[in-house]
Amino acid sequence: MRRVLLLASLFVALGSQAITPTEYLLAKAWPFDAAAKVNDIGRGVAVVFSPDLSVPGNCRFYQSLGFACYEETDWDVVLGGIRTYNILYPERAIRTVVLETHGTNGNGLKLQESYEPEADRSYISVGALQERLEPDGVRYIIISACNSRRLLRPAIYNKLDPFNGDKLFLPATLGIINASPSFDPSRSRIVVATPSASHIESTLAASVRELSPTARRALTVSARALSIEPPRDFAVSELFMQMMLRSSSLQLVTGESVDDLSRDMAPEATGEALLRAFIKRINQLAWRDFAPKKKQAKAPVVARHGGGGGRVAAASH
Amino acid sequence: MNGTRKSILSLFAALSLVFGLAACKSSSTDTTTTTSTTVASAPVPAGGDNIVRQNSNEDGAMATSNARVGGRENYQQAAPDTSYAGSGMATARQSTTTTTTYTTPVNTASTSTVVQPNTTTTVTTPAVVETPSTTAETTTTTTTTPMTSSTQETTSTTTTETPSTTTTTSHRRMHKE
Repeated sequence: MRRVLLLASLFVALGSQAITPTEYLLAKAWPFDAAAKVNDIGRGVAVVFSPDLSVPGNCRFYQSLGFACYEETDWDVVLGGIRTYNILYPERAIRTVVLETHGTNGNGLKLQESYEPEADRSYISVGALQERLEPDGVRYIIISACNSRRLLRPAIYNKLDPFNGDKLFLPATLGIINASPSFDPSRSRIVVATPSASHIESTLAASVRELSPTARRALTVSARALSIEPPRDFAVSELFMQMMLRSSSLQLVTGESVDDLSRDMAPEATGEALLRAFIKRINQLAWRDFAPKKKQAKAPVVARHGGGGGRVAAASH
Repeated sequence: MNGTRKSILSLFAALSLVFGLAACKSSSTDTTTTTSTTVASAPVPAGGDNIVRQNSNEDGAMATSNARVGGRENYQQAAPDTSYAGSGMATARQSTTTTTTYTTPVNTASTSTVVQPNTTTTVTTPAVVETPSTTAETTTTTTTTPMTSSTQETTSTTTTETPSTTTTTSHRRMHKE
């Protein structure tokens, strides 16, 4: 009887620690590095923002955390930027692209300046992203957009339908990028992941002041190392925070499209709770690297005077 | 009488011949033993050993391929190096004495006369040098403590900054459409 109980508890323990498909996907797309410094959190990951889903200086926040960041209205500029980045920084080459863009109710990935009809705006199909990014070394695309799984519908996977009748599909002032007719998505090496719940995604705007002084200092040091101005505000999506926190509530799927349009969105409290956890996480990472050492610095000074010098370099750390 | 004389003379001659041969035999054996002892007592093997070592040291990996040829050549050079064996013995003795003196510093309490040079050879000064290093270690250990104090930091930041986050509970939300 005892043996049976022991075996049962063992199976339960193993089952509780079994890796989920989402965890596996994240481990591949955005490997968790416990020893990563603040400026290295986003190594190998690029974040693409639609300008109207961002805040001023938003990319500086992500760049300070080690991400590659793009905030453009023209998909061509974004794709060119990723190509240039991987050529210039092969040691930090982008392997994963997180799209913080519009999904246009699942009719096309959209970058836009605003909802004004004549504003700068461009669209791209998922197939075109795969076709264009694969030669640059990108292997994972994570779509954080509205009704993202509708973007995977076979009818518009390679070529978007500009006459879909959706009023959110505003004029493509900067064009539409489709995949070439000969492109076969099944032969692409890029994995496209979306949230399992295909609904309206949300992004929260926050201030860097909400971070701890140590985290602000870490961001400042990182920004100055990159010769950029330290960030003041940032915008972060709920999906991004879930990925960063390795949240158990996150569920990603690959290659599964849906037809139904959803108007659902996560409750406001969920986003706020995620943001608090996100800020706490950055604070902890920053504390590990930039913990103030005033109290510890004083002790060696006393010992140095007593010991007779010769340890200035070690103590002045 | 004559017969007896003849027989005595012949016996004497025979005896002298026998003894003479024996004497000749013994003298030859004596010379061989002396030469063999001189060869054996000569420190050629010691010199030869040293030379072989030199070869092996000089050539390194090549020593095995040159061992036979070089060995013969150097073995002839070993003959004048007879005095070297003595010096080698002396250095060996010196080395053993140095090692013994080196081990004694550890036992500082054993001989007081040896302790004095040891104290001058900074036996105590390393202890002085090590004390700052131990202080450095304490600093590193205190840097590892932030693992525990990180929670303190987060609690402190939450206490200082949570009011701002709790007061501004609703951040601006942008919906992706």
